[in-house]
Amino acid sequence: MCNVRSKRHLYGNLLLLLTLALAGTASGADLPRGVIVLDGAAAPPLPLRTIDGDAAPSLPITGRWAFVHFWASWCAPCRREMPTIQKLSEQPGLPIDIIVINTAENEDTVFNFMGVAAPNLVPLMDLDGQVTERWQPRGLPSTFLVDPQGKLRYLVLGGRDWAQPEYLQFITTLPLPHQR
Amino acid sequence: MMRTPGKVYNKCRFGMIMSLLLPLYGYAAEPEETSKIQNEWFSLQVLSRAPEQMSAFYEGRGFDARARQEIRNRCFVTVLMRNTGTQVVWLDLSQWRFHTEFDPIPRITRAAWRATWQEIKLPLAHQATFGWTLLPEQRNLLPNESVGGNITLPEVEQPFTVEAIFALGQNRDAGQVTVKFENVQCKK
Repeated sequence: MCNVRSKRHLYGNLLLLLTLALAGTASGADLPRGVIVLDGAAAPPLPLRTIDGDAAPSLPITGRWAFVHFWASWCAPCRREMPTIQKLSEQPGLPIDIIVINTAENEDTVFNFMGVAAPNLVPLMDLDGQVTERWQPRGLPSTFLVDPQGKLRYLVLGGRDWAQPEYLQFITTLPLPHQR
Repeated sequence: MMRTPGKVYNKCRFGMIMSLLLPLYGYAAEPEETSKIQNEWFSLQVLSRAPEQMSAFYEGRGFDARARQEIRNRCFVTVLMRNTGTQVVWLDLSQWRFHTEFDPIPRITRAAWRATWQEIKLPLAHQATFGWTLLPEQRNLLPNESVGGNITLPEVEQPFTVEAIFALGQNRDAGQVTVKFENVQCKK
């Protein structure tokens, strides 16, 4: 049986552990710059194909978060951000699937751009821009983070450097279903 | 989008009037210069674009000759804005006014552009691209967030004034800021 002092010690340790856990996950209050919490509405579908002609993954992706990024080659922040998304994608053990969606450009333009900016990423083609309209990003580029239940949880304003530690920490600590 | 290398743009005359009765700012003006303001809430820059410059941009995105002619026949002003303060700033184009010394200038709305594009059967992809290059009609600009895009007007020969009102605060309840750019001119 615990005495009062040991109970206080135990509660103190639990509080410390809880604090550390919250500080180390994306659900904590200190989100990286440019990250906006969304209300958890269902993510719209992605009836698109990749530049190689493959069907887009359907959301939700079982047990995984989805990083859904809208961009166009004519937008300067998009050109800066895309290489950092490739760096993010190269991180081992990411709990998130990266989906990059080109808005309303043709395959030649996208192929030429991605070959330089992010050759390992295979973009989805929103050829007429209508899927982008349904998702309603705040501008190009924008990134939505969709949880494993298919809910829109975060919007990340364009122009992030995803290779920076604060964003890597944020992404790698997104809670998976068994952690929520 | 369409950012330009950093310069000091302060040759245009502009004024800022706040509902909080803070001072009026003004600078000497030269037509066709870009202008920029910085206050405690945001930075705001306007740049007049030449018709050929805009035409070339959209030609590079695959717009056909007829669409580019429609573009050349209008006046494009690029706006770049960043919330540099600590509270929400509301961009709301319904609160912007454009006028010459004597006459108001009606802004060409997204709906008007949509009608133009449908009339000439511009592909949906190009309509989408064009839409993303316009300044949003409304945006609650969060601290450190930036936004950019074009405002379009009919061709205007005379210098004109741009007046814009920005509400402040999460619920637009923390006052408002009025910004004025004078002697703006459509580039030829």
